[in-house]
Amino acid sequence: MSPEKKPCKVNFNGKELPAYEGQLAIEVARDNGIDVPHYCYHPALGNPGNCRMCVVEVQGAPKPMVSCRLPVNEGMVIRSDSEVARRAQTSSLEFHLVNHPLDCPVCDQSGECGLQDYYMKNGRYESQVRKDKVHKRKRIQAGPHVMLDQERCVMCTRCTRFVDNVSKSHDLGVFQRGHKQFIDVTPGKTLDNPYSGNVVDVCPVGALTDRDFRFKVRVWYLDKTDSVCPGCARGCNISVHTNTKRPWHNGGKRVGRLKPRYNPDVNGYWMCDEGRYGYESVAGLDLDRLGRVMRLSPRQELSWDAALGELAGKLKARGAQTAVAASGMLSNEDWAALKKLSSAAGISRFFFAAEPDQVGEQDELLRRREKVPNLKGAEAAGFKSEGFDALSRDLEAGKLRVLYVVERDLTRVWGDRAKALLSKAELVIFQGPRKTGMADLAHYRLPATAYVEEDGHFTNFEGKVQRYFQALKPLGAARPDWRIFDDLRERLS
Amino acid sequence: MTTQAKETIFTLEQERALAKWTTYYPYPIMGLLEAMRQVQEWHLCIRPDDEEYLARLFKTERNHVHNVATFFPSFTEKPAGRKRLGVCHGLSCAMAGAGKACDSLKERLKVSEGETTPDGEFSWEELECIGACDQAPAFQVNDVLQGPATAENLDAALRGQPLPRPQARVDLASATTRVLTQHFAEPKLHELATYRSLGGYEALAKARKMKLEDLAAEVKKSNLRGLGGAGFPTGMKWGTVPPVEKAPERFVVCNYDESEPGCFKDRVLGERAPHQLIEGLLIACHAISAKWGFIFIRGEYAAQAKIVQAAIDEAEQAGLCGDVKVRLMRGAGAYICGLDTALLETMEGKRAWPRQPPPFPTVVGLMGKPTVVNNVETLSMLPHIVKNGGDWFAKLGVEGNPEKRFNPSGGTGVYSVSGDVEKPGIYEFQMGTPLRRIIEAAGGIKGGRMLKCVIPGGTSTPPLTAAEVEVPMDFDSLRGVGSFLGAGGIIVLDETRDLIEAAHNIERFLTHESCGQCTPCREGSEWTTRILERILRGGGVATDMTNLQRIGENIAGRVICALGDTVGMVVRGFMKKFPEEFKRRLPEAKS
Repeated sequence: MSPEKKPCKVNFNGKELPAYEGQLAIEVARDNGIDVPHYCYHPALGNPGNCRMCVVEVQGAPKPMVSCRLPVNEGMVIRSDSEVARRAQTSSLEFHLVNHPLDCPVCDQSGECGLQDYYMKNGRYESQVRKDKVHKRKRIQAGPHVMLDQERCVMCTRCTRFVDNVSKSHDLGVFQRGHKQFIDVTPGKTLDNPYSGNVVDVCPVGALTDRDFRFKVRVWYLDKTDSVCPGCARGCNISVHTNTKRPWHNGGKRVGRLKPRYNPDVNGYWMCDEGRYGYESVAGLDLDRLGRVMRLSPRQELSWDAALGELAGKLKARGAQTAVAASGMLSNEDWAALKKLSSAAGISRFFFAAEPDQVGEQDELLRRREKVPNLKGAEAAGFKSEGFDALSRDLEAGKLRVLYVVERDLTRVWGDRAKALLSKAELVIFQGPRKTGMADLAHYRLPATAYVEEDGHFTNFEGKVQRYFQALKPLGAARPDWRIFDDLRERLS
Repeated sequence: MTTQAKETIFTLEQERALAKWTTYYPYPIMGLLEAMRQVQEWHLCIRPDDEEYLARLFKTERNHVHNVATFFPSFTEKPAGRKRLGVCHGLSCAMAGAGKACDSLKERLKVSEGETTPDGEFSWEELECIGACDQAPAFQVNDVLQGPATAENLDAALRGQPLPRPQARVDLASATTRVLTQHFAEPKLHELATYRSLGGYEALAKARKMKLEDLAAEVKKSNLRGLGGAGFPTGMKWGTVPPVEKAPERFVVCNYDESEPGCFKDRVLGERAPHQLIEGLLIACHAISAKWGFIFIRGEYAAQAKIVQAAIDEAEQAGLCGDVKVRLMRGAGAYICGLDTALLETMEGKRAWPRQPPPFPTVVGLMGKPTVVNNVETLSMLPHIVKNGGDWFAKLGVEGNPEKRFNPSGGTGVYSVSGDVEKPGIYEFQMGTPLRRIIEAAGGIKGGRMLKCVIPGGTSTPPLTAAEVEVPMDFDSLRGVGSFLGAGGIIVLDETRDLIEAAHNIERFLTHESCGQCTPCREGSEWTTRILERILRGGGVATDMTNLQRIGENIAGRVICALGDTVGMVVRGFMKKFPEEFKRRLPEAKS
């Protein structure tokens, strides 16, 4: 926002609305909760004005105008709900539908489709089309994550603007011209840029759909919960779409999909493919989840009470020789509880830095090197991580006797050495949502909730503290890490 | 592996020739279209490797190159024939039997439209208007106009025998006052020496001595209006260019993309009097202090491009251009480039998707710099205005009448007359001359038949009935009868013509040429064409007229550019002026 913005008043649909000189009418409407139909306009992708949907009537103008290219000024009188404006919007919609295949029953976009929504809101006309539809290619595998259907496309060019201007991967384009024109994958390329899933989000119709979500759940069965992506230190704001109303859909997966949630200060409108499609590892099939509290030798399922009682006793005795191996997956609440627990038990050795097991690609757009969400939160809680080399050395030297592993897979830190190193410890506790390589190498297994099953906060790499909400019930006996820490601490005193 | 393949697609010489295009224009990317044409000529298509190469050469992306290559019909993905034949099926050519010519070509070559003979020698295609309505049904070989597609001419072309460049008939007798065509009796007018002997380039010298504000005032006084079709006052357009201090770099572009069916006057003006055009361009450059003057000529005018380029070279060698660089650029087969902002996009190496003013090109134009875009005919008028004064020019035309919102229009108009007339050709008359007079000058209706319909300004302008031919030919008078002067492409249809066929021909043309950017035009043109097609096949339904009317109204005014407006306007124009033609083809509507 430039500093010289001059505020003004605009009369929109009979209401006086605040705006600033030169602001686009469609944005004035949006900022004030008025929905003007549109396809091509996207706040982050510009306003080519090609879909001609956002037509409004402007007092004194000879003909209706597209509001996405209409800068407002003081006293402008605009209507998006007048007879003239409605008729113009409906006629544009009609043109969009002339060659649309109307295959809604088999289209994943059904229920969140711009064509359906505006037809039901404004259209509801009887079709006058007495001709064959123009046919184009369908079911094109554009890339690992995205399916393309050229017939459903409304040529708004949001997706090509995304790949040209945001991901800068140039892997989609507009080819041919006129009514034969289509969107296609750039010859010689595949739509496999690290942000490819966003084209599905920006597509207002069913032309670009998620392969991952294809034919899985109808969108109207999904529940949506605000959350934060735990995939890296960026902490992109997301919405977790869960499928619990129709458990027999989606192959039993409770999470249907993840969608980015707008936050201008963190991720804008986007999220990366790693984060978007990585949910399988956290909340996908639930098959590799820990659901029971277990002691492994002798093997026995325990109640939380029994397990925590046994562990508290051991920690009391060995506090000074205990190390905590954790990860940036812990929430701020978890870190705070761990802080209290460790001071009660006299634990002073902490290992949670991102080793190669939690490090990946970083780029200019969103992705951060550290593939965990909350290392900053650990710092803020006063923790400092030692290197994992020190941990292995001291385990071998017998200086550390108890290892409390929380949401960290040491087999991915140490590889083949992990088993031998862990065998040096007299007690290994493993706590986490998933089995991972650790499950059989520990003496105790404590099931923790996945991030979609708990409320909490992550602190991203810039120090922004962000809240995420519980989207699903915990599986089995799983409890949030902070609660396990608190319960242990209570038993220490 | 790939680098090796890439190294061997072009010879060293070819690589140098392509690299030249990155420096020929003020910005590298502007050379993309010409480089693509070069590759098309060498490889007879643009192959994937070529696209990769061009993307690297012009520092752009593959999707961009493919986006542009697939937009323009001149570029093909599969190899075209070494001799690429094209038969025009614009309205005048279709009326003169383009369909039959296509059939006979198909029979001779034994391949379908768009395909290449097995020996790779020939391919043929139906083309939209190639600006040769006087030669109907016109055909071309490799972008060079050959003349009418008669059996003899087609045979000659297939034998590889070159035909002489067809000369358009230019009327030198009917009008008392002619401006642009006054010296057209001179056979070597295209040569600098001849042009100068007739007083050529004196106006440029005079203009360069004038104060810029005086020059601008003279042009304003002349009431010269954009003769490319929009009729916008030229002086006023120049006046909107921001001052040099604010934007030192500015351009003048000559719009030589004439492709409106019915119009071929720019073709003739350029090939017969290229120096008149260049002088006008240089005057315009001087008037707005531009150091670059461009001539964007449609790809199908290959012969004309050669003539104009030769004239530019002559003028440069004679030192007439001063510090102004004049550069030619050729189009690649898109009607929409005739629209100024689409033309500018194309010059920037992009597909011809029109921009949505504001800002107007005179403020933000080519490469974001102030740019004046003027038609060939408009620019050609300038030397005469400078020489004889704005008042003289204004007096040739019609006066304004502010009360009736009637704007003045100076000088003459150069009309292309084709269709069912005895003498198709170029006719120059003073603004305000009745349409009937022009048709009569063209020898009247062919075969003494009755007049049914006249399209006054090219097929984008709604038709007139026989009763309306007294209308004075100037911008505002034609508005009064629900049509436009356009670019003065007069197509005459006699009593035997089927106007639904005519409307269908025009709508099919617009559907083919719709750039695809905005939805109402892209979808509405196709829809309209299909309805007309169905009516022609005898499948009309009672609601067709109301539906066509409704579709037309819904496109008009809701689109980005004038092409879209035209889609709705043409069919509505035919239905309004000739409702009976439609009604007798449709079952009666149930009331």
